[in-house]
Amino acid sequence: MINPSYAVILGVLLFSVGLYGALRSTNAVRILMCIELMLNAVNLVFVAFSRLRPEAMIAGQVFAIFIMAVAAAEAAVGLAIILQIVRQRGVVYMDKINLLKG
Amino acid sequence: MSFLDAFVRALPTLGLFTLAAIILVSGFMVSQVRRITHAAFFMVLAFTGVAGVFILLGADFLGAAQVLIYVGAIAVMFLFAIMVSDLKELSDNPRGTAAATTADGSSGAAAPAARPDGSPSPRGAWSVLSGLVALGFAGFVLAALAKAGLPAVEVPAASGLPTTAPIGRALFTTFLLPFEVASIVLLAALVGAIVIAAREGGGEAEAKAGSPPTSAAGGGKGDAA
Repeated sequence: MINPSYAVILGVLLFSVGLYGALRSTNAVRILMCIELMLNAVNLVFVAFSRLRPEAMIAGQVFAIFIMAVAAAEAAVGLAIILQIVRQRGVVYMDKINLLKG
Repeated sequence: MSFLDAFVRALPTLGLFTLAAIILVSGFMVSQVRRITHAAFFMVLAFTGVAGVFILLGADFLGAAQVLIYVGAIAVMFLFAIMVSDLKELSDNPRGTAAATTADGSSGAAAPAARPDGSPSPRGAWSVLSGLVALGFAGFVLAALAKAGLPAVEVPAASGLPTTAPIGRALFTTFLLPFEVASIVLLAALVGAIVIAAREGGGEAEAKAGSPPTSAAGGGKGDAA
């Protein structure tokens, strides 16, 4: 037997860990990794809540699948953009990419 | 006998706590380790732990999809991007690549992260601030959850297991429109990623940047001309 509320709390904690990393890092690749962690935490909360409500069990899992699709798309486009920035400017640090700064 | 029975009943919860510890520690290490490759592998560890939690919660298809998509596709894509982007030291503390700052980067945030730890550098203050923001977020949401009262129900772990057929049925009946939209999003992202990544580094952005980014770390990028 298992209590899905623990998984909800785990999702909240994982989201805040990812938030901390995404705010703290300056490396663009690392920021993208932390965003993936945050999306994963949201998936966790979806599945846990769907487990708490038996009539919505499949719907929560389908939502998590859609989030996975969006996460894959986001990672692909984000990494392509980072790759192009690295090619053109030679840095991956977000505080060094200040082309639009007045 | 009853002790053994209680232990067996508590086993899924113990597994959940173990996985939670693994997930949280490795998720924290993603932002802490210096080398970006190690961060990617810690991210893989966190993803695998989340897959285990999915299976414990009775979402076996989602656990398999998590392993296939996140561990198999996204993490490998991160590793490929790290490998292709040819920077020797992709760490968060650019002490080796401090020369990569552009000439116009003399304002505010562009102060090179002071590696001598004598004075509180702006990076340190920023790190503390982001930690406070994350802690505040966690506290806020957990307080809201405590106020709302999470139900203390116990469901059997990993029950009702073959969820593949119900998910497929829901995906093609109730959620057909979102499914098609997701396929279009994936196609657009695929094409966009290829177009963005395959474009050779044009001279346009570098001409506007004033000084060409002749960094010590970017010496290997011969295609930027």
